[in-house]
Amino acid sequence: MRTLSGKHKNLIKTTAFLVLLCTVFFSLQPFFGVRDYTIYSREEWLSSEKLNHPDAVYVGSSQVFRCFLSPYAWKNTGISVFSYSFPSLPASALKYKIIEARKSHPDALYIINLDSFKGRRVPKLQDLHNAADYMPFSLNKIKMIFDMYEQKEDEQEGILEYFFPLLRFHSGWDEMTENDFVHPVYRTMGATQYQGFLEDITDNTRNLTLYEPDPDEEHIRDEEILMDLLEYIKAEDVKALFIVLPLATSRDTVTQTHAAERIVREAGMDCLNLKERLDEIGMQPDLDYEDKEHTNIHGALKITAYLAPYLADSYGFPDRREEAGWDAWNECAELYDSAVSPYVLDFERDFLARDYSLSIPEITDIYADGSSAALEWQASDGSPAGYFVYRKGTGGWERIAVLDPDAEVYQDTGLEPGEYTYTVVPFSGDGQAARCGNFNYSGRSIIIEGE
Amino acid sequence: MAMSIVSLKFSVFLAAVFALYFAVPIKYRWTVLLAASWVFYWINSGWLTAVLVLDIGITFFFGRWIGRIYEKGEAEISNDALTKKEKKAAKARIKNRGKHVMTAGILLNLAMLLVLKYSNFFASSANSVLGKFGAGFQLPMLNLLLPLGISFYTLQAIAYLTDIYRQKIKADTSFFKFALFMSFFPQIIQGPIPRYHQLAGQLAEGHTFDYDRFTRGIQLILWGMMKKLIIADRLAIPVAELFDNYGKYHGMVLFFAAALYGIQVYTDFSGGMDIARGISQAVGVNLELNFRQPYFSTSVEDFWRRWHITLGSWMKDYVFYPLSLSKTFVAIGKKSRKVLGQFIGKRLPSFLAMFIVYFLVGFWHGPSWKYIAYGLWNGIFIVAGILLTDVYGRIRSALRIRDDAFSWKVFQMCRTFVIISLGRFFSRADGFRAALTMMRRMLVSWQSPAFLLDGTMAKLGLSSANWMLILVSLLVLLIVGILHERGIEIRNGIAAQPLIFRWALYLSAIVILLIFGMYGPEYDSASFIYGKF
Repeated sequence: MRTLSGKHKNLIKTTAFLVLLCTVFFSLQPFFGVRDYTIYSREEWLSSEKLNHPDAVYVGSSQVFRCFLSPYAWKNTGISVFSYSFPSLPASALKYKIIEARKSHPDALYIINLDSFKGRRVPKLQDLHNAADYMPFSLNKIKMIFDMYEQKEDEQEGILEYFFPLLRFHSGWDEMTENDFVHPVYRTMGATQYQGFLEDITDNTRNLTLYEPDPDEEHIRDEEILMDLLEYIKAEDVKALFIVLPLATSRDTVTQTHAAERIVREAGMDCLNLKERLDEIGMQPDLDYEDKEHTNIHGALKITAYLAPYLADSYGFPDRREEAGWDAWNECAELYDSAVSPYVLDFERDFLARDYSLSIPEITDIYADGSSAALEWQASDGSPAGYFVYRKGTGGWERIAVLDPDAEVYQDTGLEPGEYTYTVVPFSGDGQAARCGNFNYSGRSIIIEGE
Repeated sequence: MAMSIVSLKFSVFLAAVFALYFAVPIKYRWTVLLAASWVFYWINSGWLTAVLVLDIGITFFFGRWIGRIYEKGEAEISNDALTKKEKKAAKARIKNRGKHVMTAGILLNLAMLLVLKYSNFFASSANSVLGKFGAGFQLPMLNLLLPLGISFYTLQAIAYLTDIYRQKIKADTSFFKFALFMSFFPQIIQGPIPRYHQLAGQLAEGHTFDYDRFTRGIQLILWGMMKKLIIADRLAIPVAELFDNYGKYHGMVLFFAAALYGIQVYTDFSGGMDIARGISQAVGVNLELNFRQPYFSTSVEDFWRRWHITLGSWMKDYVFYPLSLSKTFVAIGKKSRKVLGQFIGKRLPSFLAMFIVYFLVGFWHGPSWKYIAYGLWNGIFIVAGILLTDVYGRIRSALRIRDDAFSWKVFQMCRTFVIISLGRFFSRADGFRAALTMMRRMLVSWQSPAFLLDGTMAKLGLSSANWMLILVSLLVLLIVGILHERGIEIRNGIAAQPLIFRWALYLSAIVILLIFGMYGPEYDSASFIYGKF
């Protein structure tokens, strides 16, 4: 046998070393990134959820996972909808995200958030990072980065940092926490829904204006991107549903999504405009929004309570709660529910029928008297069949009383010292099949000091 | 567009240069280096490359001119018809002619440097004088762009012309090979300042691939990058904070700032040198050592023999000796001995020459009075050190301290470090006045070193983890320094290790650099976490 010459030996050595170096370099990437573990968990889900295919995959921006609560859709209707969504996902990334998700789940219904077509701006630095940092390496990822990067404002910065987050995020080493080292193997029971959504529970309310689109505006700034997406959907025969969320964004955005919706409909695609169904959903501009682009938890529950049955009916999604292999979804729905329960009432969580004709009973006074608390309210407009009184102590909300329609005062007795919050909910129908109206989400609080 | 030597872009560029260098036939390998040098220069300086090429052209032309004068002269002298006396006269005449040409070449080079680098300084200095005398006009500020490395290659060119004149070397006959010597990319930005006889030959001949030499070169590059990216660029943050807001801090902290800056400059500059030497070594070229553990110096004079060595030796060869051996200085020496007596009189010419040298060293660093002050500060302490040698000796013998005692050495090192660090106020402060104010604060506003623990450190822009990292890195640096000082070559030790150890070492070095280096886009990771969608 001929022995290797020095030259060949060196070549083999060099190659082996470079391969080793690349391996080390690539394996370092997951530890660095935008440090948003909810994003990581969403990407991770794609590869971890191999056995079960979800009925639908929601693709879009942060609005999606703040509007549609998958764990509650599962808990109440047994449909599995995964939210593969990212903060401020640029419209140009939508197609690639769908391609990515379809690698694992080709037959799912893809629900595409039309609000991404704002035509508002070129992607920001962090939008690109959010979309790319934790995405597994593939040709698709490369294409996505180049496509988004092309539309970026400042091309001075290197494109490489989007492939290798380490190149930008290395200086975060001294802020690293346990999470950074655990999250690469951190899978929340396959479904990842629980951790992924927990951080987005918000109970704040802001009074907003819901805009109408400008009827004269025809031009859609993201038309090219949308046409490209439609072409892909047609060519690949993707099961798709475009959706307009009932958000209170600017007039310009509303106009842009409206124009996008027109194009989608002209292309013969399914499109669901929730903004036109505000009354059916029960969305209240003064109650259900956290800010212009995101609903609060109450708004999200209203939308989910409307959309989940709609999807199940329209697409014939079966109730999978009793099917084998979906334990993770059950488990995560339970966890999520227990995390949310301090903020919402039981009928919101259970998607019970609502009667929005009943106005909110305004609590006019609340006072303590020894170990009891008393509250007074003004009767609700409409014709309530009665009132539920809810109380929140150290745990979540619980219903403590069912009162007659003429009741305007309630006394809660035998309280331990501590802080209590009360709210009053009007209902119609009889006690068994009560339809609850809107109510004051934050209630009124009082401190019981004891005798 | 620019390409820093510690950027990712440069790493790719370097890999390409290495691959190409060893791929072309040995005879043409030097052309790869030349092409790489000009590409590198072009990327960093664009059209200013023309200035470099012009400078090279001028120097090459004048070198050849001097060379031809000597060639012709030799032919003239070898004529047997001449008498000895005539031959001597002819020799002197030729030498004189060579001197004129050399002077013209040097002046042209200096003129380019002065116009491009110093015109604003001269104009603003003149304007302030004119203003004092109430002149009704001001000289215009040119605000010219400075070609990269002009301060370095100008010195290189001057040495080249002088050496030809001194007949130490022969003028280069190949323009492109000479161009490579003048613009070799690893050293063009910050040195070391090479001499023609030492470098040009090495560059022009091709070198075969030597695995051992190549990996040693890479090791040196990595080591330099670690110094620069992990220590220097990290220290730059608190140093900038302290020097920019010196009014906020008391004297002790300001001294700390100067000391930190000393470490920053050393790690940055010597790191750059290691990278330059590493790159060169990988292609078989040896560059001169520019730093030899300068902070182990026992006197300021010693410091300048260990710090920026090639600048010091350049100044010695082309300023100090020519000056102190010149007729004027010899005459001054004779006179001063009569007037001032043996001890001072004998040394006065060399002291004078030394002041001129350190004035130039300061001025060379930058067009500003603070740099001149920086140079003179060092000059003063060197002269003082020489003058006080006897006094120190007497103190030592009175205290019964042995000359070679370890404690005495440590004391000397600390003393030198303090002097050098104080001088750094001039080179780093915003200006001459700011430097003086900082020094005054050192005298009048002096508090305990408690600032190290009272939370002041955390407000300087680095987290405690980062300070810890600096501390550990400096410890490593110190150990390596001690080993080098004892003549132990660490790379020999590494080479003796088994492959697995070596590879693990390389990989960890790269990973450490990637994670702990301060490179890449400036950004605050917190802004990403808390940035609202």
